[in-house]
Amino acid sequence: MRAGLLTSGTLHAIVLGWGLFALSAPDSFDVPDVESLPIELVSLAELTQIQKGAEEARKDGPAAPKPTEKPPVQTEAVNLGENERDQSAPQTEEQKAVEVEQAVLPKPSEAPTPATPPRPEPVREVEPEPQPESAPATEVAALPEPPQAVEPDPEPAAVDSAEPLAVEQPEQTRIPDRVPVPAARPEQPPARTAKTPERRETEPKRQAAAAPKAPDSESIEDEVAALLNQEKASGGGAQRSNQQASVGGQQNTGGSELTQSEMDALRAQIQACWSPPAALDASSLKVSVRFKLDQAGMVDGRPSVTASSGNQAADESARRAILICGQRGYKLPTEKYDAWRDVVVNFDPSEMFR
Amino acid sequence: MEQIGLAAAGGEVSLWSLFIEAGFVVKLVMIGLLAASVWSWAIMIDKTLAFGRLRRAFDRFEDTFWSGQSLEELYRSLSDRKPAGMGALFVAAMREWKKSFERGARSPISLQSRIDRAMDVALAREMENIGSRLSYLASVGSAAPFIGLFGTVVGIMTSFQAIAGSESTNLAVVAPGIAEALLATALGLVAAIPAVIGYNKLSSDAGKLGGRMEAFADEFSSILSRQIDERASTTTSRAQAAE
Repeated sequence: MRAGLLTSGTLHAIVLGWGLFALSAPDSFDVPDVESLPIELVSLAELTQIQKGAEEARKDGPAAPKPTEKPPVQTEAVNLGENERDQSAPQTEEQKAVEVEQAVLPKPSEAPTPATPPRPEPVREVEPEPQPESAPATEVAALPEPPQAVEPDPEPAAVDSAEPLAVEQPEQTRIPDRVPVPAARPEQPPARTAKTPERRETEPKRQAAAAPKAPDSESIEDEVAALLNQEKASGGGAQRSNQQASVGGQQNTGGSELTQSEMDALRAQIQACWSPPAALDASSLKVSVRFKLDQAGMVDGRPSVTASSGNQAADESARRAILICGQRGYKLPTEKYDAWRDVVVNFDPSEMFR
Repeated sequence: MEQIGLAAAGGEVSLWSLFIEAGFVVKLVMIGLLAASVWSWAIMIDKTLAFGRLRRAFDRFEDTFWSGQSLEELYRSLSDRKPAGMGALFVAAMREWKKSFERGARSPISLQSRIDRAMDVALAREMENIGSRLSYLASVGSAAPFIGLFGTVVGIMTSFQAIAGSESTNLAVVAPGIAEALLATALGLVAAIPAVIGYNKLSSDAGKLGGRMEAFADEFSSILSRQIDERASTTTSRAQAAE
């Protein structure tokens, strides 16, 4: 038995010793250089995001109006019985003034309401509302271009004369209960502005106000116009966008989101210039940097760190990477400039080296 | 930085590094399998040598047995040393025979059955001697793959946990752990395959040796029974003549 054990032990030792040296490092596979096929996955959003234009929009409409701010919530008017006035709020002088003005005018129905977005107020103030001065509340008021240019004013003088009248003689006549005439004269909506929340709220009210006034307005066009105007204005972009209506343009038809591969391309371009500082815990060096790009792909201004890692060197390295690579200009699809004009890049050392 | 570490881990897949980087349980399994392999090879070598020796001893014994030598002489020469195999059978039968005649037992039938039983006992002892430790080979052959598989499963479990910890599914991260775990299965197979083959070979050899011994026992038993009958007939004829 001892002989067998000895022989077996030596045989195993020999085989293992041979294995340790002979089998130490297997040759790694030769991977032939396979040319990778670039595959672009077209996202569904790219097709569905094609923006819907409004036919009657101005041809030279603004490209990007400022987003609307939400106005303070308006409380519902309290109208008891057939009363046209809001009993919940005290009468203000301006309210009366408006009513006076409309009573004085011979044919207020033909007087076009001010076409500019800031001036639908006189019309609305027919209904007594808690905030008579809601004009500054809507962002539409800040629109620079006066839409009067588009639609010719039939009686600009009437408007001009009416307004000073309203301001100057507020107290001369007090006929609060007179039925105000054509509350809604909306057949000339300024430009189809975005559906500001305020507008949405006021529309049903206007409708309610218009109903009793129907006998006063002689022509049926007014009614038709009032009805037509109940339609909600379609936005400039997709159905629910806040943007000014536009005829639809070249700029955004491709969908405004970067595809995954385009994002990867941008990431790769930035990564080439990035050398994160050495640290034990790489995951603690996460930085978010925001920067703007111009049409040529050049960095516009100075990148700002939106989420710092707490490590000054890491923040600076991320910012430096963006600036260094930006000297050549990032190569990005120009038709989607809207998507990458403002970029936030998250730097994560543990992700980058994967 | 991580890349460098990964490259180092993926680059070296030598046997020794595989063994060293394995977990405690896997190491234990590997060492056990290695020991089992060493021991089973030792048994196989030992048994092969022993069976060769036995076969040669049988040949020699049969030669002398059938050479016409007197059985008494053969018995005297064999009973001094401890014989194995056929010699042991022969010695057991002859001892029983001599005892019966020295004590003056006269019953031929019971003598025959006593001799047969003595040879059966001797045969069983010899067969046990021949087949000893072969069961170990059988156990290694059937159990070693499972033990290796156990080591592999444990190793893969731990390496998956490590992969989950490293949060990367790169093949360079996954591969070394799995290769290291698979080494346990490889060792199990290395131990099991020779053990199975050796067991089959050795047990058939042992069967052949046992067959030879049984044949010899039957032959010897028939010779002895002939002798008993002859002696019984001579004693009866002598008794008849005396009457």
